[in-house]
Amino acid sequence: MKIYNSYILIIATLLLLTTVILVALGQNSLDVYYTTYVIEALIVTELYVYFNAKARHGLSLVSAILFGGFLVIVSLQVIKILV
Amino acid sequence: MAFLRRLRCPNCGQKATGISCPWCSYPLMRGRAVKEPREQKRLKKPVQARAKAEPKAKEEARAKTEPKAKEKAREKAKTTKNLYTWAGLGLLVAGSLVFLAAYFVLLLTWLAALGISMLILSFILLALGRTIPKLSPEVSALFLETGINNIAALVEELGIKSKAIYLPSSLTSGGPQVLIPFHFNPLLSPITKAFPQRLIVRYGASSDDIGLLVTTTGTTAVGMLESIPGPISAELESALTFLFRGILGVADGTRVITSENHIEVEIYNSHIENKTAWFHQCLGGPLASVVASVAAEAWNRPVTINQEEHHRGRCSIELEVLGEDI
Repeated sequence: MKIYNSYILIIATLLLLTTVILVALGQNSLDVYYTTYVIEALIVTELYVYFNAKARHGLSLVSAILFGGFLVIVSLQVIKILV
Repeated sequence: MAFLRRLRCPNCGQKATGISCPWCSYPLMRGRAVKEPREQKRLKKPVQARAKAEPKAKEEARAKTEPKAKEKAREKAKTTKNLYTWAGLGLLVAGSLVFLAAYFVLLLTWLAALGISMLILSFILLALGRTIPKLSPEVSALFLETGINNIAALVEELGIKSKAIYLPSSLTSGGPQVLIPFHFNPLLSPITKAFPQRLIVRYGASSDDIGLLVTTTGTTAVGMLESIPGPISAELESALTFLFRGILGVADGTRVITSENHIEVEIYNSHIENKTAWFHQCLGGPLASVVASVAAEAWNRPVTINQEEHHRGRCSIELEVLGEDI
């Protein structure tokens, strides 16, 4: 389970660091925060190629859910621009 | 002649003739009603008493066992939900509360973002929690040690000093197995057909060409691979890293160098302790056993462990790939 722990620790650290950096930059849009989180989570998940098949299946499901949220944000922005 | 009559001994219950019982030397009393054997009497009394006390005892026992059973079931349910799942559920609740409070009440974007990051982490933890095996590491260690101890006892009792030969699945009737020759013979005849599924097998024409065909940790580990690697060192390295880092979690990485019929494998940060028992000299350590089994399967040829060294968490293993003939 060492690989699970390192994966979770890396993701948690990255998300926390991103929050600190974006707050320091004065970012006030929740969409930017979410999009950055999703991109980071997807990249780290892709880098962990040595996960077993069951874990990869579970994580791809989570990735799909996160990507769905990202698509919702994009479509809302598109609607905002068009309207 | 009354004493010649066959009577039942009142003490032991055996049929006997004479003055005393030939089985227990108990005097056989004539002209009296045959006594019940002591044992029978002793058993009868508690039965009657038990019949009276049974309903009461049953109720008491039920009252005692019911809460225990409930407690056990509760504990079982607790353990089946592992730490990842619990952490995920905790983060899910905390993240939702933080997000809702920050977004609708406090109107703080950064806190709402922190809530979102907690929710993302909770989804990941819940997904990983579902993949944790239900068997605890202690139970797995129990099975592993039992199997290893049995093989060690066999090898040590037979006084085998020869090196084990790791065979690919094409040379056995099941998965990859290990052949432990009873006697070392440098001139061995080629294997023409797969070995049968037996413990003691004949591998050559000579009368001394007999060995043990056993299953080791490597045999089971090969079954955990998603696909059998090829003989190229990169493929072997990838398979071993996947196994040691991703599945077993016993090392951080591997490096494989192949030259002709020699394979050098280095395992980084291995957490398995090095033992120097007799059977380790013959079969190799658990890591070497896994490496040899995977290499035998990848090359589709028999493999032996030439050398195995452990130094500060780094394990160096040298394998020799044998020809079609062993």
